[in-house]
Amino acid sequence: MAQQFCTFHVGDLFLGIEVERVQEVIRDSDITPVPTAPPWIRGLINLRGQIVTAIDLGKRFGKTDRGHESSTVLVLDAGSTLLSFVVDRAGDVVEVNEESFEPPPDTLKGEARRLIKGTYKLEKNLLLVLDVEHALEIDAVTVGDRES
Amino acid sequence: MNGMDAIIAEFLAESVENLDQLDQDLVSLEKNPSDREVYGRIFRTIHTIKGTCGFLAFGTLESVTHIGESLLGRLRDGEMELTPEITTDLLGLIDAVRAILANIDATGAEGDEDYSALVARLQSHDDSASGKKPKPKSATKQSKKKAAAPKAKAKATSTATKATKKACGATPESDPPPKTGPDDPENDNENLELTSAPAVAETNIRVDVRVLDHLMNLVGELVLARNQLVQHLATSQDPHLASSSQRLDSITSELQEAVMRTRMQPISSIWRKLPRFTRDLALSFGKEVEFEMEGEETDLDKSVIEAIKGSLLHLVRNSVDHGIEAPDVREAHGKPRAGKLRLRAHHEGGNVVIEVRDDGAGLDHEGIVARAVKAGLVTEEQGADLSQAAIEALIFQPGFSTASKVTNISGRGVGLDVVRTNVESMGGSIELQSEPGQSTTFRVKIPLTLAIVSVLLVRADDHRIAIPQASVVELIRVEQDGEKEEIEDLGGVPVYRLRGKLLPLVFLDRELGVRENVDQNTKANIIVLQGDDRQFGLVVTGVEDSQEIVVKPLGRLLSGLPFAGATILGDGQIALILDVFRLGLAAGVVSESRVHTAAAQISNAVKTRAKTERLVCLHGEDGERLAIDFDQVSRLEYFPRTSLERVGHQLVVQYGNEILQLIELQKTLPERRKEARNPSDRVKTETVPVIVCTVKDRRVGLVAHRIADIVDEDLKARRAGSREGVRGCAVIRDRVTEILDLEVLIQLADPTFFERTIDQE
Repeated sequence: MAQQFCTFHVGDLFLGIEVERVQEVIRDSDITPVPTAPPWIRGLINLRGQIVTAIDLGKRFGKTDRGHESSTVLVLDAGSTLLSFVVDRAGDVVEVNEESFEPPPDTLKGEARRLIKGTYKLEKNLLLVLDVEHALEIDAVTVGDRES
Repeated sequence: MNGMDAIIAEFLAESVENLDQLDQDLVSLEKNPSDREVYGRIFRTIHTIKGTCGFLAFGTLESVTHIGESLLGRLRDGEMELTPEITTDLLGLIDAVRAILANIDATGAEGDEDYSALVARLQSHDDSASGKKPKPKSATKQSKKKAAAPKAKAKATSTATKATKKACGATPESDPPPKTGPDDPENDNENLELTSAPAVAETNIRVDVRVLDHLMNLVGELVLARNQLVQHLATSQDPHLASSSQRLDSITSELQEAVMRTRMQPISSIWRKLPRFTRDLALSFGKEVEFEMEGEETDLDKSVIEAIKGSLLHLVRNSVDHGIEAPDVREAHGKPRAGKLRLRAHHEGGNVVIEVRDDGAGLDHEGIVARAVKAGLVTEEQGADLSQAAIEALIFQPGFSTASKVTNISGRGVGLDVVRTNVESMGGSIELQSEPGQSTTFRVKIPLTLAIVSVLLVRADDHRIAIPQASVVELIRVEQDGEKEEIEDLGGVPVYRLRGKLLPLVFLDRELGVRENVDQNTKANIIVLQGDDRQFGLVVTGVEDSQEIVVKPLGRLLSGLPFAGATILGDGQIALILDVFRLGLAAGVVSESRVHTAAAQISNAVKTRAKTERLVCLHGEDGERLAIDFDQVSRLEYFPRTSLERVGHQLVVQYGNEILQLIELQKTLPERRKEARNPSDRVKTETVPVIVCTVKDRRVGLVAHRIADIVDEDLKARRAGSREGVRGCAVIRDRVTEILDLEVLIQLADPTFFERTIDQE
């Protein structure tokens, strides 16, 4: 069975998450900022009565100054709770060929390298697979912050 | 789940519910043994279980319930009277039934426990009723009213023998029921069912909590859709549409409320087990206990109820074991033989408070210290110096247990420290009040994490923040009129004078980092908050209104922030709920060492016996550091130097309607250095800072060179003072600071100060 990925853009990165992990994509979400929270937390979303933390994937990848702020989020089921990633733009769901998988390219540096599980060579471009667990790991994030 | 499983599941759920009720019934019967209605209810429950398990082919269960049913039938009909022994065995029967049911639930089979001893005991009660009753010598307790006794005797015995056979020898279920006669319990039951209406109409159904959660989410979604619709319709001209939307609006709100209530349960759902539990305990300790409950209807979220259950049992156990004295001891102290154990629950702000109170001997302070020393928690030396509060905190220490003997109920390795940990993990707190010889009260306070909490909505710049009403003491609106600064600066700490007391202020927007520059607004809203045992004022941009909200947890990613949770407001927007204590901590107005958990208290008290004290620091004219107790300070004033006057040898200033006597610190404090100071070296400032203190209801002003700061000082580092008027030295902000003794200082400056006070009166 071919694996399907939900794709999205963060800065110049074309990323994907296994489609079954993504619960929904919300465009124009209303994000309530949380004062005193770390910079990579964009705020909270009211998802049908449930409060979901929104993680700014751009900041997570160390892209600090990006001019505009997107409000498109991908909601993920993270075990006991829901979490969401703020991305620049949501893409299509793509089907990948298992044989086209390769480990992360050497050109990826720093935090980005740790957040990428690998890459699929698509016809036109490369799809980077996001390591969701790593992206949610708080300690790694704090370390990343200190480095940057 | 196939059909049979479903039937069994239903049987289990129903039986367990009924058994809880039985515990309570049996204990109440002991008090009022003639209540036939209660007997009937117990009988019916056991009968139902027996009947159903016969149908489901649970042989052991059937045999156990059968003998119980027979005995209960007799009790109901007044053939015999309830004695504590019978009650104990009947309770044992209920336990056996419970154990078997639990086994069925877990494994699908009854398990191979042997209940023949219990059955034999029940049998002997049953026999004694039927067999020995006619003999005048035996059993004075037995009822004499039964005319048909001889007949009953034969029948009952045959029934009982059969039952015993069944229980011990696992006779097949096809065993024909004993021949029925007028006194046979089974037959009686049929009569009963025919003649009496069901005791309580069926008003409850069991619902899976997940269904409720789902329902709650759906309602949340409905509320959002409603809000959007109402917003769009606000611009509509159609009056019909407007009235429909209004109706939709109110119905949705009501629905939301109703669904939220479905998750709430009265606390009686766990309390129901307690009378039985207390009774067993009291028996095993040889004590007499009267059990009282108040506030059973107090609603708590289901999850909170589950979490608090164990702790509550433990507190009750603790009270019966350690609190209430033995009957003889009580009598010797002029108290009634039976101790009183009282449970009370009520809502208080955003919390539920549960009190467990006994009228026992109170805490034995000496015994506690001795035990703590023995357990190695404190040294003997430390123990001798412990304050009352510190001693009381000791009993919450891990490794502490005053139970000198292990009983079958206590001594399970669970101490009050576990209770404390449990309560605190729910964000609650536990307090202890003890009056020697009179009572001990444990007060457990648990927040209603999922329940409805009343909050005050405020704004910090553009952010909406909810403050639990429980922490709000009062609201103050300040308008700066330019003549007098309402918010003053005290060594970098903003303060407000609230009825003569200095209230440290925290600016919410600055604290949250949402706005750095403070504009010189002419108006300010100050919310006086109770952060632990200290009050502080929170300056907010605006106060909106008071609302009832549902607290939602913030995920693990947002732990450690000064927020206790978040909530969704009526318009679908999210508001953060302020954690008052943590904010105070972050702002430095509540000090860390005052963290009001018993844990922190005791570790401070035991390990260092440190205590913090809030001090106002000032500089003397030679740059020496002095400090005075914050609590003694009522105001800080700056007087123009020219307004100071001398009356005789006293320096005074006109202050409101009174003449304030001033004490010049430099002149009053004994000089340490030999060389004379040269006053002309000092720069004379135009205004003189004066600390107005209140001592014994009289005011006096201390003239300082400069008022520096307010600090919370850890007094463990203190040494004794080296001159008169100084009660000690401590290192504050890396400088040795002398802490002034105000009363001695006044005596030094004006030996007649206090005498004059009396004269005036």
